[in-house]
Amino acid sequence: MYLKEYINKLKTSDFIDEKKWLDQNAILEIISEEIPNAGTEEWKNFKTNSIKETSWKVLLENSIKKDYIKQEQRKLPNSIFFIDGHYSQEASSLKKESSINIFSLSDYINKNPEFKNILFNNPSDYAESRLSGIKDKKPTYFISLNSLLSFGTVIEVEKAKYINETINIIHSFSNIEPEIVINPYIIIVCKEGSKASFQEISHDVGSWNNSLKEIFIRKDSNLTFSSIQERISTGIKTSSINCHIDENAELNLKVLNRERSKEDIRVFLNKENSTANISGIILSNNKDESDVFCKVTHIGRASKSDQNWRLISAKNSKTAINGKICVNKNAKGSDASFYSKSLLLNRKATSFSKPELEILEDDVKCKHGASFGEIDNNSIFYMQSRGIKKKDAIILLIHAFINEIGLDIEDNSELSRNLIDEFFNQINEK
Amino acid sequence: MLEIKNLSVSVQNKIIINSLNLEIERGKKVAIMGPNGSGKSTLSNVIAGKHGYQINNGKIFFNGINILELDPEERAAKGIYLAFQYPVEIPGIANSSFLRTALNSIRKYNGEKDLNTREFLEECKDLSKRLNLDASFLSRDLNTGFSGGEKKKNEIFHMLMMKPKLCILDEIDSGLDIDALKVISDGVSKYSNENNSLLIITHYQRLLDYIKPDEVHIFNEGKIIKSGDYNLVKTLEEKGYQEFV
Repeated sequence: MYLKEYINKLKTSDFIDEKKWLDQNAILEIISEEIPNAGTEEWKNFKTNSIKETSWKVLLENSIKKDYIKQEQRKLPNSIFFIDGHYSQEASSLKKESSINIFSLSDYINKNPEFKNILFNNPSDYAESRLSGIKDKKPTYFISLNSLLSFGTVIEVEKAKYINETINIIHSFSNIEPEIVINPYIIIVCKEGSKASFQEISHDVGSWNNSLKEIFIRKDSNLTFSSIQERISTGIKTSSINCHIDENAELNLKVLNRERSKEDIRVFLNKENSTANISGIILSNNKDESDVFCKVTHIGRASKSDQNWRLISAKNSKTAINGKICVNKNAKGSDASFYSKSLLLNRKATSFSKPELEILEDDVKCKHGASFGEIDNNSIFYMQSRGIKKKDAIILLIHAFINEIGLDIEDNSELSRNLIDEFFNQINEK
Repeated sequence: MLEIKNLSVSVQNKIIINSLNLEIERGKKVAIMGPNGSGKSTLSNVIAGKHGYQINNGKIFFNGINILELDPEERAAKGIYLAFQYPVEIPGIANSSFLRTALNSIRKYNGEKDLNTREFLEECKDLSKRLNLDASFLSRDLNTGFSGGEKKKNEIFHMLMMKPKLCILDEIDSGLDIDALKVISDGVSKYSNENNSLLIITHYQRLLDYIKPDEVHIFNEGKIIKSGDYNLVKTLEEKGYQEFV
């Protein structure tokens, strides 16, 4: 079914029935909205032409090939599988005693009616703080497509449970046809006093992966969420992460994005002593762009945030980070920082960094900085003089550049290392 | 071991080394002294293979091979080591991890197997103790946040681990206090034997008091203007470079 056809069908009652929570106006607005272009500030570093020009197809749950599920079944331990954007219990391999519960969004709302209020009431007031959003400002309408196209999966970490082992969230694709759009919509709820670590890995995307994560970190809980774009061939990634952090709770968000990706991150430090540590690597190659918009809003008193980004642009590509810090009225004692460092591997490569501060309260601490540079020839010579080949020296320096922010992700540092090697091999291809 | 024949080097058309001839025999310690800007560091960089220098004429033979055609890493694999005047800081890579990568690269080049990690770490710990270096020194990022003295000690530490055939010390004594100078001199003395050679580039007598070179050359305007033994250092200290230039 084509994307336009699908969205149009949502207007009919039988389709919307499954999505009672959806605001009819929102659907109409999205249908009438155009895909954003460089004219809008938040999208000016990402070309949307290829999205506009393609007739995208939507993969419905029942179209997933059974053989594929078998093939993927329990390949990785401790994993939650999403195939074509839909949760697959058969392919997942969570331990029974893992203290993690998985629900469809509608089941979760039935079980926790108050959650519906959190997600969907007063959309005009609360919109920007959730979907980036159904009722958000025009530039980000586009990302909220996922909530229309997917029914949503809730991953709940039980109250007061500490989960030591990292849980994998794997996205894979059963259909290799081009022009497929997949729309995983994942909601993570860390209940009071819990601690967990998730690592999201997206396998090769041949088409368009448009994902949405909404993360709720309740009082005294701690979540590490890593999102790794493993490989990319010809596909496009658009992604939105919205995080809501309560009192004494902490988010550690780590992101690794590759070319042809657009990430929209919104973090809300809602209560006193809430903390967000955000670090990310943004890579781009050829003529592509990799763009991140990250906005942290300090609402609670003494809330803390730290953004630390590393960008690497190769060939004629562009990397971009737009890092915004908002300190709201009454968020006294807040402490926020943003820092980005860009590495340009070629004279034609470009990088864009825009730290932005909006401070509406006194007695707060905010700092920001950005730097740009090339690989230092003296460092290469130093390494060569110790016997390391020039190519290996450059790879080592790229690793070192990235290691500064310690993105080695839990037990999977090998994965991020391999990704960098693969990236470097690609840029060296003639 | 090292033979420089009629070497002329320029940078942006300015001649820095002018028809230089120099020979360093196996087991010898040779010092080059000279005023600022005389071309001493250029010489060490050219021997180690740094790009950006224009070789107008001449050859450099290392154990009979003209190394001017080789990349810096190939020269290192053949046994040439340069201890930097200003070692670069590289955040994000641990000192020991860098050193192991370097040693394994050289071993690979020479057709040898990778190092045994346990033996490597034991040797690292033993050596760092001898150089009065804190244990955390191995896990810290390469030269990052190191004091001037620590950086120089690290250069000697790398040298002792890499066991080169020819070691070039480019003003290893600059910015060192007396205690650090003593530690570094002890390290160099441990390295030095009849099978390897040292090229010591310095401004001052004090390092040479510890290392005692076999030959001393005074360098000015890219060439040797006076040669002698250790006694030349004392004369230089008394009369200054002005006497010779």
